[in-house]
Amino acid sequence: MLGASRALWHFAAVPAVLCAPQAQAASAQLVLAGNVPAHCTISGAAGTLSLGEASRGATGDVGNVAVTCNLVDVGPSITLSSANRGLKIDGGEQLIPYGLQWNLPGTTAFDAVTSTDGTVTAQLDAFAPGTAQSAHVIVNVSAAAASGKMAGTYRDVIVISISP
Amino acid sequence: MKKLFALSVLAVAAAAAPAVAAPIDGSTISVAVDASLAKACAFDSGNSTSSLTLGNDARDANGTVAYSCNYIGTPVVTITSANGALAPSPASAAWGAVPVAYQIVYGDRATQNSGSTGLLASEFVDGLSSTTDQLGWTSTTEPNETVSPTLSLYLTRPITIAGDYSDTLTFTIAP
Repeated sequence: MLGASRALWHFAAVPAVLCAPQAQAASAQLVLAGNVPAHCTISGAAGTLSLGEASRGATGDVGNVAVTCNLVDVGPSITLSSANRGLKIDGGEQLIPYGLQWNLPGTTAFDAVTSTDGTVTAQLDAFAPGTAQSAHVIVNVSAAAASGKMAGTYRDVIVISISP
Repeated sequence: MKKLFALSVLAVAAAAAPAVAAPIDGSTISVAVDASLAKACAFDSGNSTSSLTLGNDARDANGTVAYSCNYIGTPVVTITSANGALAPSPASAAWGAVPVAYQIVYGDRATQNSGSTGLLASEFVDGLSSTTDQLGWTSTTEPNETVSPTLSLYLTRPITIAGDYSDTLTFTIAP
């Protein structure tokens, strides 16, 4: 601040050298400020998973799904949404509940998708920023869940989203 | 899928196809999941007759062989007679007993046999399916509901030689 005051003094006493004081300053400060918003990404294999014949139970692997964040002391929030609240028969309303496992810390809430749990949310445990947490997403239909259901093809769409 | 009455249920489980990879990177991932259930039927032993007795005093005997299917349609039921008749036990045969013919009727529309509509057990030795018979034995109108068609047997003539006689009918249903 001393340099800046001296420049103003010169500006007032010797107006003929209007530009000189700035060039002669001994020091200056530039304050830079910015904001890096909290952000996470989710990546991995998406597409179609066919479980096949399910009368005796069926299990399928969606693939490896990874989460990366810039968070420090808190984990991201993961939301799983089932479009049909289960596997829904083509041309009808009958549902087959299924389980979904994604063994990241904090994802135990994703154990099952039923007609009453169309959307479930879980808070993952915190992990180091910039590192990826990944695990395979496994979908499972038990024989008991398929028992007593009509013959046909059953479908669902799972959307896994991350926040922030 | 074919099932035997009073035997364990069989089913087919196809291997799950691998996911079709479509990598994305962002805030959401979408996965379409599908599964299938094949048409299947099973006998309901708890609601079925396990034995029937025919005799000179009661030449008609009626029971039920119940089943359920996971679809609406017409399953194929096949009945096989082990002896093709009421066969005498070895001891009875030693005293001169001979096989005795009887008739079989089974199906949704079956009622008391009385010899008017049945087919001889001898016709069932190699198995006789509902698709090959004009009676149209079975159908399901609601999935996963038990259907209880009547099984009616009729002794075509009186038994004249005392003894023990028996036959075993095996039911299969498909799919």
